[in-house]
Amino acid sequence: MELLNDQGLRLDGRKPDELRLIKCKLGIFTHTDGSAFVEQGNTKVIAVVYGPHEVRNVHRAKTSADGAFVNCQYSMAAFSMSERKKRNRGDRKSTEATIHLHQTLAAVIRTELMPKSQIDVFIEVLQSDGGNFAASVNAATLALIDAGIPLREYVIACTASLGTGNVPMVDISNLEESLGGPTLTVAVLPRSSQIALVEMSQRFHLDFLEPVLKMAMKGCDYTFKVLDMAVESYLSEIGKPNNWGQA
Amino acid sequence: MAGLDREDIGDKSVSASFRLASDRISLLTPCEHPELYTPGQDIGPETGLLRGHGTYQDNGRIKASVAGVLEHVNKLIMIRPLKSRYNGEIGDVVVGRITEIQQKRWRVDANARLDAVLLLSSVNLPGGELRRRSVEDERMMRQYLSEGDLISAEVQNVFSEGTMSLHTRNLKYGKLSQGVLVTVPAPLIKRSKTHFHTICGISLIIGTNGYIWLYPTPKSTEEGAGGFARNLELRVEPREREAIARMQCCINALAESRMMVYDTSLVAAFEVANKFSVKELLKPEVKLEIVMLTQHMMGLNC
Amino acid sequence: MVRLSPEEKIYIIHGVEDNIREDGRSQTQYRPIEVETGIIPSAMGSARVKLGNTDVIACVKADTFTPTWNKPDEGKLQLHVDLSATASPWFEGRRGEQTSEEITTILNKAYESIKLESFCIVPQVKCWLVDVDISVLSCDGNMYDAIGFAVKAALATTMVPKIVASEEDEGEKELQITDDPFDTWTPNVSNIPCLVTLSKVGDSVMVDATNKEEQCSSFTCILAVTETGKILSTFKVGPGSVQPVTFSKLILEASSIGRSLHSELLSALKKENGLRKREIHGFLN
Repeated sequence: MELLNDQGLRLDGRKPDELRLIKCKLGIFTHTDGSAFVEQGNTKVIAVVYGPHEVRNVHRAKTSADGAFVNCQYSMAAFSMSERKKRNRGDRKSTEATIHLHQTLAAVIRTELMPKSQIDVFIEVLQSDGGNFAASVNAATLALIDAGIPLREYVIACTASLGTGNVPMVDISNLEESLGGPTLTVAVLPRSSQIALVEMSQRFHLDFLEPVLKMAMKGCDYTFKVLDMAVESYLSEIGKPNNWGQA
Repeated sequence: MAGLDREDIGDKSVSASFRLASDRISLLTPCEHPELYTPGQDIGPETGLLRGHGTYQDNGRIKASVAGVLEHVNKLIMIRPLKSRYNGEIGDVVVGRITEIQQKRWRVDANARLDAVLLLSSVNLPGGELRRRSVEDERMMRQYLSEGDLISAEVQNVFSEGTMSLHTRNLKYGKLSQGVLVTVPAPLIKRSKTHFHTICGISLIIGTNGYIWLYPTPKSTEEGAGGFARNLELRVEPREREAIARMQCCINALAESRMMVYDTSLVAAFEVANKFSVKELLKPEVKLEIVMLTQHMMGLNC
Repeated sequence: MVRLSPEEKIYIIHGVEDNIREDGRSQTQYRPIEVETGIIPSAMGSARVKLGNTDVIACVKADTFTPTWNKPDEGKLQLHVDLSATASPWFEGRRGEQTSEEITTILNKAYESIKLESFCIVPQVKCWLVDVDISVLSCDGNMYDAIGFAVKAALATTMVPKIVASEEDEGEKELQITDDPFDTWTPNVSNIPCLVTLSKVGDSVMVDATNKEEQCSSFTCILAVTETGKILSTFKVGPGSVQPVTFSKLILEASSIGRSLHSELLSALKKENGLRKREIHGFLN
């Protein structure tokens, strides 16, 4: 199977610079401070935010007068992949994703405004089809916005890779990832064009790094526009009945 | 205990209704909106403007840090997030739950970023003995308020990192007795002159922090909402229970549809809810009808 | 979870006894239940059940295994529960994993005695091992009942690819998964039970306890009830005890409640199946 056929189309019929359909919803749970659901193609992710709140006993040692302590957990449901997972969390891949998630969110959460408190961000991947971590970052951003936690700005992530003939492709699916070469995941602050995280699944030749990075960043820009519209639509729904908090 | 009574069992028919996702009813609809700002969005140049909550300064520009509507108060600009934890202000009336007993103070969960404190010296206790420095402090304190107890109190002070200090130095505040606690997002509560209400036969304390306490109206004026005695013998009458359940349903319906929760909206919602039997109140279509008729009665329409 | 004051508990207890619970329900009334199947398309079968604010997803995946000598023509059904941290920060990390394991053990015992001859492909050679993974996304009491509904709904709409046995020269059977994606079989769920949790609060017995009500229960019993009202297994959770006479009453009640629940669930699934163009709502709209 070729990643790009002779018409230049991918295995699922997309063009190299075309992202999968993005659907999202904020405020899916009522028992949390913030929550969001993001679907990118077949990848489905839930993000939930608790806080800011008093630091819980288990984490008491991490209370800081400088700012809030951000506690993340990345977990994949046992049914999320075609091969059943025995362990949802605490395995190497999830632990690594948790650390990366923490790093990415720390770039935008204005923790200095919430000293001595704790913010929990929990991710549950319900269906995995490539770009799981990227979708998780996007869902986490939406959940943080839903919770009203002050952010410098959005943090959006996207994947990119190289197709047949060294053509950069954006938003890599599971099949493309398993067949193809290295996948690059980039997390970006779209309004200030800053990069918060870059992760590569394998080695990349230096010559190709720039075009693939550019493709990923374009993907982030597009994703940002979609998510920002969703936030505005959600705000209009929850704001009108109370006149947007104004007297 | 009587023996197996078959007629008894036959009487109790279980009521369970399974709905499909396609029958879902939403209490929210997209509407027109004023200009909305989202995190990172540029608001304007720094000069001549005072930045308030929900904004930050970056390279000479003011940017939004939460999603919401921009508010101007003279030169002060701020953005209020539609959902957030409670930000206490001095003088607010709150309802809270004791989480911990510490040296000469209790820690209280009041739906805020940090637990509030209730100092032993901020509490009216019978007799002055407790003011003495005594080793038995914690035991004595536990007699009055222990973990899990609910209180109504006023915000006396707010410390720099955001911790509130509460006081119950007024007869109307103190430990809460039998009743139901309902939680709504704090931004849906209006600050008003009074937070103690009696609506349609039952009493409410609408905490500015989003914790609302529903309780049967005390029979005699001597039993205030305050005091520290435990009242486990009282048996609330069915009529009052129904009213409390109905009011709880109204509060939840208003909160789910993001309407402000205060005495006027609750009175209107309760009136609408009266036409339903108390067992129907959880049905989504009943909630929708309560919300729509209440909005209509109050002249709010999308 | 949330700690209640003694007065709040007394209010709840008296309310159950007077048949007017905190939210107005009667002792035998369930909160509104929503069921949607097929929400995880990559699984062979899936269902999401919302019972009040309790939210669970069950997913079915089937694989083959060689049966043991003492059960040569029966398949296996294994359940696994994961309490997601999205339900509560209490379920984060190792603590959540441990609590999930405890619940998984109880669940598997409840489903242990189901006869699974229909899961046999070739006796003594190959049978189906059906794994059901359950994720609890939100919990406001009565988790077991919700899981029971989700498992049944997921299994009832599962499509497992058929395996055909063909005769080989030496008489050895060769098993092949069919190439046709529409050539599937759906398990017969008539002997899959529903879980009915009954709680004794004060002097009365009630169904579908919320988190708060669970804290006021002096005795909680989970019963696996079949479509015909037979009791497959019973479990008591937590501290507390009851008189034998009360326990017998509980069993009879559970039997009739279970029968009603099965019929309501099955008719909802039938209605869902009959919808012409069904889009998956899931967490959107």
